[in-house]
Order: sequence, then structure tokens, then C-alpha cells
Amino acid sequence: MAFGSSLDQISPFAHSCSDLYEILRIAGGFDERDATSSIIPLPDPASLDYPDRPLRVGLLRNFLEHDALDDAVSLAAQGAIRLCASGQILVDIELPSAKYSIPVYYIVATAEASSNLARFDGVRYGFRHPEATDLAAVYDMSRGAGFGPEVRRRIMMGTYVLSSGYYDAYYNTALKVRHVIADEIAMAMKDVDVILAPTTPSTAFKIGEKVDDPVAMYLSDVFTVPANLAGVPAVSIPWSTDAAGLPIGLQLMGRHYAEAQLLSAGILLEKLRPQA
Amino acid sequence: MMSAYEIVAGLEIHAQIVTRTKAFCRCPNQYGAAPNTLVCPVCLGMPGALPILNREVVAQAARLARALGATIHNQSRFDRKNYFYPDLPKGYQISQFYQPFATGGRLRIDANAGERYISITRAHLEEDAGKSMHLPDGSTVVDMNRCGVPLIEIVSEPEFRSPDEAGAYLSAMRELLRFIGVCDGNMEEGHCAATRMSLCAGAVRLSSASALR
Repeated sequence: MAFGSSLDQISPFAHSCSDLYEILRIAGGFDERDATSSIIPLPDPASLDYPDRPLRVGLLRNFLEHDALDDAVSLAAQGAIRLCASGQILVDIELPSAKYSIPVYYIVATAEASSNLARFDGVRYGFRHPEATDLAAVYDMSRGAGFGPEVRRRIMMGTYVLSSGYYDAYYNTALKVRHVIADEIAMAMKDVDVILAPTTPSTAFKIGEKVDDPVAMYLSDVFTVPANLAGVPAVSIPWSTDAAGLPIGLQLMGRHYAEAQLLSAGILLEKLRPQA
Repeated sequence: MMSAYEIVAGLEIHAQIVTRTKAFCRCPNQYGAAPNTLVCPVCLGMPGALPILNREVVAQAARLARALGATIHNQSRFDRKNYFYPDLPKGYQISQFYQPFATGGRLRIDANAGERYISITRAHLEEDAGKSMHLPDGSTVVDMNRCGVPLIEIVSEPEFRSPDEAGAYLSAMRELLRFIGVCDGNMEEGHCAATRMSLCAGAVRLSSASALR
């Protein structure tokens, strides 16, 4: 089921980067029934071998030292940087426009979702509101009752930013900023092999804990959204746990179509990981 | 009074393109089959189904563009026209708005007033919707066979000065489309046009659109 078509992707969970590589070999590659698939050949297994030169690891300072970082996550990140420092080359990088990622994402994603969810209209797919007596009511009442509050919120946001009079101010502008973010990542990638950053600002919050503050929930995506917007591959690697035993992840972002390099950097990070 | 106004009209013609299969899926592009038999998850807009552009649709559009002397653009894009109607299963129509397939070109017509060339503004690709049928008992049913049938929309500049010229243009376009094999021009099976009509009196311009089949 499509949500934001320019952002949706298969996101496998696995026990290791080498398992992720196996999944990539199976799921990736050209598919004549998928207009978004690429004819670029998949990387071969040999390309996963540990590189014979030090990796150039970009340290995304504005994320690694972000205000919203929990102490536990901050410590984990600093630990990883120290471990990488012996053996790899660390390069400070900045993505000045990354701070716009969340607003850009929530404009683009909700706009696309509002369109993708239009097909759930009460005419098909089972639920039609029993009290609807005309076509407009079939739409309004079925969708009002059939969608949950978060979905309705996103559809309304998306419809608003696409509406006449607001399209240029919101959606078009968001697309332009998206390109700027993607360009900044591409520029940074000319100098480094991978970019290191935390995956989330905090460890997992409890179910229902932020349900009354959707914006606070959306802010948890702050570190993972840039890669999504730029369309570059990224991987989150479990690094350590906090005092309560909750997992802390670190992410690596790579260049377009350089999944093999990204995963081999991931394998390196896994080797450096503190043993539990 | 009416004599102070001159008619300045253009026409948008939607022509169903002759291809073996539909615009974005492998369903047969055929008229007259039993309802909802020429359908698949793609043209039904089922969750997860995605369109694949039919190469022959592009080839046919290219033939038409050449025949009109239009400029074919190396890059053109598809856009979504979002609206709610039961015969539009995805809730949007795949069309082209910002970057159409072709622009420019012209068509020669023979009207009462003599031979003229009507300029073409643009030609773009889009998909057709299904067909709603209102039954005597007050209910409505939908046949999705026509969903996803490829259409080419040809927009003329507002250059017609009389209904006769508009009629001549329609005949000429239909003849051209049939001759180059892009559309079979069967009115009862295909589309005709939406008019775009302006009435001009000096600097004042009123605009309205209406459809005729």
C-alpha cells in the first residue's frame, strides 16, 4: 500500500549487514513490472570484502552533537567516533539544510499520501458507511469513519499543501529544498565513503507515550529523513544499549548505488562494536 | 448586443489511441467486452499496483506529433489529476500537465471561408476512466474496462471564428488520426471534444467550457 511514493521503499530488518546484502541480492535489480527499478547491475559478493584502505568516514556534526540527543545516545556516538578514529580517516562534514528535512518530509510525504489514499473511498474495498445516502456522503462518511486519526491528519495536511493557492508556497518549495538537501549530501559524499550519524535522538519511547503530541513524534525522524529525501542508501546498526537495556542504533549513509560499500562499512562498524 | 461579440473558440480533442494493450498495464485495449472483464490490479487501482508505461502509446503519440508538425519534447512528465468519482478507481487520473509530450504544430482545415491553418497548443498523454451507468431502479454501476485506455489530448489555440470552422477542424483531425492509424475515430466508441470558448468584445473576455460527445 503506497504512502509517499517518492519515499517508500523496502526496508529489511536483519541480524547483520551481510544478511542485508543477501536480501539486496534477492530483492534488488531490474524488474520489468516495476518502472522504478534500475538496470544498474547488483554488486557482486566480492565487493563486500573489507576495504584495503582506511575508510573515509564523514562525521555529521550537526547530528552527532544535536540538542535533542539523549545522553545515552550521545555517549554511544562519541564512543563509535573514538573507535573509528584508530584505523579510519574521520572527516567533519556539515549539511546546512538538513535542519529543513522534517518540514520538507512532512509536506512531501503527506501530499503524496493524500493522493495515494484517495482510492479508499467507500465505493470499493469493503467498508462503506451504512448511513450514507448519496455519493458525497459515501465519500465523507466512509473515509471519516474508516481512517484513524493519524491517517486523517496526514491526508488533511497533504490536501492542504497541494491545494490551489498553497501549492507553490508549500509543495513546490518543499521540492526545491529537497533538491538542496540531496545536493548537499552528494557534495559531502565526494569527500567521504560513508556518513556516520545517530539513528534516533532517543531510545524507544513507550507505546502511546507521544500519541497526544504528534509533532514530538515526528521529530524522532530527524536523523533518518535526510537519506530518505535524498534517495541515498542508509543502514542502521545496533550499537549498544542504555541503562534500561533499550537498544541504541547508529546509522551510516552511502552514495547512490553504492550499497556494497555501505554494507562493507557496516561490517566494519559491527566489528568495532563494544561486546555486550 | 450579440453582434458586438466575436466568437473566439478553441477545441480540446481526446482521442483513444489504438494499441494492443492499455496505457499502463497489459489488459487488452478493446471496446465492447462484457463489463469488468478487461481489468487487472493496475487499471483497477488496487493497493500496491503500479503503472508501467506502454511503449506503443509513446510511439503513437510521436506519430501524431510528427503529423501535426509539433515539437516532441525529450523529457515530459506525468502528473496526477486528483478528484473523487466512482469510475476513477485510483482517485486520480494519470495525465500530463506541466511538461506535455508535444507542443506546437498546426492542422489545415477547409471551412466555408476557405482554407486555413489552425495552430496546436499542445498534445499530451493520459488515461481514460471507467464508465458509469445509471440504472432504471436508481442505482449506478461502473464498468472499469475503459480504465487505463490510452488517450491523447490535443489542444488547439483559440482560433476558430465560427462553428463551421470548429466542425471542419474536428473532421480534419479525425481524418488525420484515422489515416496515420493512431485513432479509429469511432465516435460511438471514442471521445469527441471539450470546447473552450471565449467571447471577445474588445478587451473584455468571457470564458466557459462545455463538453460535446
